[in-house]
Amino acid sequence: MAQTLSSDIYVIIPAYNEANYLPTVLSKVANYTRQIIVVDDGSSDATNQVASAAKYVVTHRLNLGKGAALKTGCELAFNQLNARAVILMDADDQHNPQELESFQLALNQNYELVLGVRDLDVKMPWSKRQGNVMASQLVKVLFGAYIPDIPSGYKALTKKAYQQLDWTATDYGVELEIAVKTVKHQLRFCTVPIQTIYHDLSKGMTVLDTIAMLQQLVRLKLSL
Amino acid sequence: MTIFQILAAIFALSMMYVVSIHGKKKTLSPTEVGFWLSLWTLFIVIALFPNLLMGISQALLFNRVFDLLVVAALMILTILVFASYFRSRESHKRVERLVRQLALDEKKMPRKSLS
Repeated sequence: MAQTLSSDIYVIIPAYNEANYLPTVLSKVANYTRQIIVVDDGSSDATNQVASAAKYVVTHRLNLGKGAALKTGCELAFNQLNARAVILMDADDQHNPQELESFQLALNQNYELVLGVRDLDVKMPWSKRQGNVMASQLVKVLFGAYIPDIPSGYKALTKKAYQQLDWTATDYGVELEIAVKTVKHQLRFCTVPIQTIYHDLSKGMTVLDTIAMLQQLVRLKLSL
Repeated sequence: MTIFQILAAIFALSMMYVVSIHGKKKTLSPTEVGFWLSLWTLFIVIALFPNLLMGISQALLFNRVFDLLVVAALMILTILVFASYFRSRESHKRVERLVRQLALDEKKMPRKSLS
């Protein structure tokens, strides 16, 4: 199949113990681009072996968290591979690679950040939906702009946006930090609709992660 | 002597025992062992003879020596928690930098085609 993504756009997939889903994700994404970077975040299962189907694999010897894995992937893409932009995807097959082209389209329209936004009324569990909406409302109250579906990990950013975001969160808090810094630095962003897909409700963000996210919101308000 | 004083002394003696074990295992340096043993000895002395602090307690307008000890203990605990929080955060940052740098140095690049 034709590679529809531009060769200077890299897809970064952080993976932690995702040996079950990663092969499926890689084979689907390969239909759109070969420029795939998998960051194995210290997995203890066969993630590293199955990740070798990707063009680039970087391995954290210890599990650091999603934020750190994304940062490693971005540094490889921007500093060593001269990427123009990156698209961040989760490794648990919750993101539809068919939507990669929507991200590229938005990047070509000179947006610095493109946020994949799910339809919250479809399929999303109630508790996750409440945490999701609350986070967006709090960001609006505290920072003055509404960023929808903050926990969504499907997003694209340019090198300039990456340099401005310069996140420090090493865990799932990275999504919130990106949202807040997008507002603070007034990055030119847009949203693209993405599918809501859940395979394993025990993975991804939990209610406890949402509580931690709220604590982080207060910290960001005090520090930024 | 009250039961509380006896319990405090026993607690301090067990802590001194723990310190000496760490000293033997070399997880604490001789200086650190000396520091902690002196601290726990002081704790025992104050626990058994609280009136030694009566003067300080009255100067700081505490009604009882016990109140002074509780406030002092809370202050020390706060300082220790604060210091260990920053130390662990710094360690975490260093580990993160190291792990990420190693990952980038050892990245797997695509194989070049022979054709």
